[in-house]
Parts: sequence; structure tokens; C-alpha cells
Amino acid sequence: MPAERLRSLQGWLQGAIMDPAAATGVEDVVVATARLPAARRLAIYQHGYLSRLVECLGAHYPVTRHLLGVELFEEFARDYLAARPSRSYTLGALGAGLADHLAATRPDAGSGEREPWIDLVVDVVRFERAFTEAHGAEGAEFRAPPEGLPEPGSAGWAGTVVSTVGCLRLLRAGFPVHAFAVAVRARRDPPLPAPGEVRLVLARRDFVVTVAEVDEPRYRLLAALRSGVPVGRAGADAGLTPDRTDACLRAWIAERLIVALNGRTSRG
Amino acid sequence: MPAVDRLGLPDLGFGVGLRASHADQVLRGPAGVDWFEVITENVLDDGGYARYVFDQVAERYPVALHGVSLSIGSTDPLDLDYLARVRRLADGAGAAWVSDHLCWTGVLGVNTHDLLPLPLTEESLRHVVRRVRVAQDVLERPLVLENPSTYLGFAESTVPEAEFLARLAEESGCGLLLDVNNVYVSAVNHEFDPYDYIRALPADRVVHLHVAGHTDCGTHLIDTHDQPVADPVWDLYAFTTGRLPSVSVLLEWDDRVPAFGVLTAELDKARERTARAG
Repeated sequence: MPAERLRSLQGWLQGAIMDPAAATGVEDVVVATARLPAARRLAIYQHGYLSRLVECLGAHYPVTRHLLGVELFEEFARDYLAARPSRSYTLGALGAGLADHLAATRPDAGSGEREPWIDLVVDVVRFERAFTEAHGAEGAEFRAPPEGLPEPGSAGWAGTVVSTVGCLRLLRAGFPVHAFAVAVRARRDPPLPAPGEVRLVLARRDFVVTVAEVDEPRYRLLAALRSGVPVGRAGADAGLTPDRTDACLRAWIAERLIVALNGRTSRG
Repeated sequence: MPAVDRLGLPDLGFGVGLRASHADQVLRGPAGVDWFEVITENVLDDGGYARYVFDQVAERYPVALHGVSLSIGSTDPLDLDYLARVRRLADGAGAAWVSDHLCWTGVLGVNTHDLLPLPLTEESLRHVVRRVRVAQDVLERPLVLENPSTYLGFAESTVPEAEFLARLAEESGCGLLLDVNNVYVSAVNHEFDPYDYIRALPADRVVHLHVAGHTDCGTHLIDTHDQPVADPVWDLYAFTTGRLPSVSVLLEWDDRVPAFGVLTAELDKARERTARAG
């Protein structure tokens, strides 16, 4: 096996960084000086690893951090990093699994009764992740809206398949997390939101993330359209008449949530 | 004076790392700098404002890509998909070169997102030379590798870092990014002579220089990029530019990023010292 000793040393150092309690034989592996013993040299990397990634998670989840408080957030972050260390080359993906991790490790699991504050935390985390993704995904800032959507009832309307903008994110939450997030980001320290289901559409305009609340039929319609369901069936499945479906489509085209019709984008 | 080859790569002058907080000012231009370095991973997958700014800057200024995730020293397989996407990004932007670090970031599929030190052995050298050749094939250009700041060394290391880099450049054909601050930080941390380190590097392979600030923790230095360049680093820089005329220079400032004018003022110090050395 090529570089077998190198592989062994790298496995040792990575393990010692990620799980300091399990680090053994430090003095045998790491060179010490009188000024800086081997264990302290290793500790620089151990401390740097956690502090950097916890700080990164805090930057991606400022509302969650506010909601939990710094101490508890960082405890959750360390637990998450231990359970799901990064496997991506980009820090942008670091928090992608945080909501699922929290949901899977709920403190109330097994108690027989769900605690609402945990539902709120998970919803806020999902919202912040969707926000981050909408911020960085492909947008339609320099695209003209697609043209040529047939009129309802005309040939081709029902079979039209649309493409939605890359930064579109749909989120169903049990609390109005979007309003809570706006207030936290404005440093207003809002009260905890009361339960109330919301359906949110996140996208971006002029590089600023937009969040809109929609009703259930429109949410279902947009979700179906995004997954490639033809216009006629998507509208019917959502319980909308063709006219109402068409009105939604034209509004979303104007807003550039829809960027192509049957694979054709605008010439603009 | 040594022959200037640098793999045929250009002298871009004096540049700074492109940071989001300076985007508006840079795009309003002129920025007062000659070129920009962009962290590859900040724009590689981005379809939002970061990528827009990068594209705009690349239309107006020379740019170079500086990565932190290649993990050239890891014993995990090279991420060929990542490399192919870096190549496309560099091609699209007309990047002057693609650089990363002599380090590894993780094994067993994990990324620690740190620039971890390599045991500097003959085995490691053979390993990295092999991987640099593969990376250069995928990138379709020379890879430029930076000396990292390190805080620990391995008892098994047998090759001084400067010699390791010199042999790596010779055997793989890669270029070198000489981070003067990193040399100083590592020299203090490992108690070697930074001037001997600079002397041991092949001048014709040094494509560009980095300077940055560090934090003095008493017993050791940390490469923090969050403050002005320290005087001993400027002294080492002056010595270095005396050996390396007409080489691209870049100021890094990544944390507690000040107003753009503070950066350009710091960059002017590099210009002055280079002029004096020349």
C-alpha cells in the first residue's frame, strides 16, 4: 500500500484532533521544544478545529444561536460535529445535516410527549438552512421572464412543464419562523413565536433572499411544478381551477420563480 | 541574480485577497491594487452574490484562485471532480494560476477544514509528487503550492520543509507560493532560521508571495490574518524580495477585516519595501 506510514500518522493526528480524550502517545509522535511541549502543540490543532467549525455553524445559524443562547448552541454544535463530521470540501455544507441531527437526537425522544420548543428549534434550523441555500444557489438576477405560456384551455397549456429557479426553496414549518428570524436579525429580541403552520417560499431578488408565505393550494402547486409535474395536473392536484392555476403561473413567471417553459428560457 | 522563470507565469504586481465586505468598493473602482486572489471554495459552487462579484472582478482585474480543500498531502483519493470544477472555474475566469497548500485536510472521508502538517519524509515526498502530477493533469496547468504555518512537527520527519518544497517543485513541476508570514510563524514555532529557509528555496519556482498578520501567543505564533504585518515579517519580506525581483505579491487579511483603505495602505508598505530592495 503506498504511503502506508503516512496514512497511519494522518489517521492518528486526525483522531487526536477530533477526539482529544482518545489521543495517546503524543510525545512519541510530536516533536516538543522546551517552550512548547508536544501536548500543547497538539492542543493548538484540537482547539482550532472545534472553535473554527463551531464559529462557522454560528455564522450559518444566527437565529438558532440566539434562540438557544450561545452556551447551549455551542454544545449542540459540538455534539453535531462529533456525530456528523464534515465530509465536504466546502464549509457551505457544514450545517446541512444539523436539522436532521437535532430531530434524530431530540431530548424528548422516548418521553412520550413532544416538547414544542424542540419543534421550534428544528423549524428555525430548517429555515436558516433554506435561507443559506437560497442565498448561494443559482438565481435569476439577469434573466428575463420566459415567454409563451399558452392560455388555459388552449392546446399545450395543461401539458406545459416549467423549470423553477435554482435558489427556490419551499419550507413547511409549525411556527412563523420567518417573522421570528427577521426580528432576531434586526436585534429586536422577540418573544418566542406561538405555534401556527406556515408554508414558505424562499427565493432571491437582486441577490437578496426573499421569503413569502403562501396558502396550502399554492404551496402544493409550486412544489408539484418544481418536481416536474405538468401544469394541468399540478393545478388539479392542488385543488385549483385552471384560471387560478394560470394566475399563479403568470405571477411566478413575472417574479422569476419560474425561469423556463418546456425547457425554453427567455432570449433575454 | 537568479534566472526568472516562474513557470512562465506573470508578475501581477501587488494584490489583496478579495473579501465580501469590500465588494462594493472594488466594483466601483479603481481599487488601487493590481490584482485579486479569491478563495476557490468561496465561489466554486456559488450562484449568488459572491460569484457575481468574482465574475465582475475577473473582468476588470487579473485574478488567481487560492484553494484550501485540495488536500494534496492526504492519503485519501484525490477529489478529481473538485479538481475538474476548479479547472472550469479557472478557465472561465482566466485565472492567472491555481494555488493551494502543502498540507492535508482530512482522511477517511472527513474534512477537518484545517491545513494540517505533513510528516516530512521521503515517503511523503513521493506521495505528494505523485498527486501533484495527477492534479496538474486534471487542472491542465501547473499547480502552485504554499508553505503552510504549522504548530507541530513529527518526530519521524527527516526532510527540512524548504528542502521538501524545493524537491517537490523540481520533481513534480509545480510552482511555489512563498508565504513569508508562514515562514516566520513556523520558524518561531519550530525554532529554525527563516532566512536559511528562504535561501533553500528555488527562486525560479516561486510564483508569488503572501504577506499577512499573525498573533503572538507568547509561547508560539498563530497565523490569524487579522492584523497588520509584523515588523520581523517585513524584514524577512525585504530579504525575500531582494532574492526574488519582479514577483507577484499579495496581502492576506481574512479576519476582523478592516476598511479597504487600510489594506491598500498595508499593501503600499510592501511596494515601498520591494522598491527599496530592488
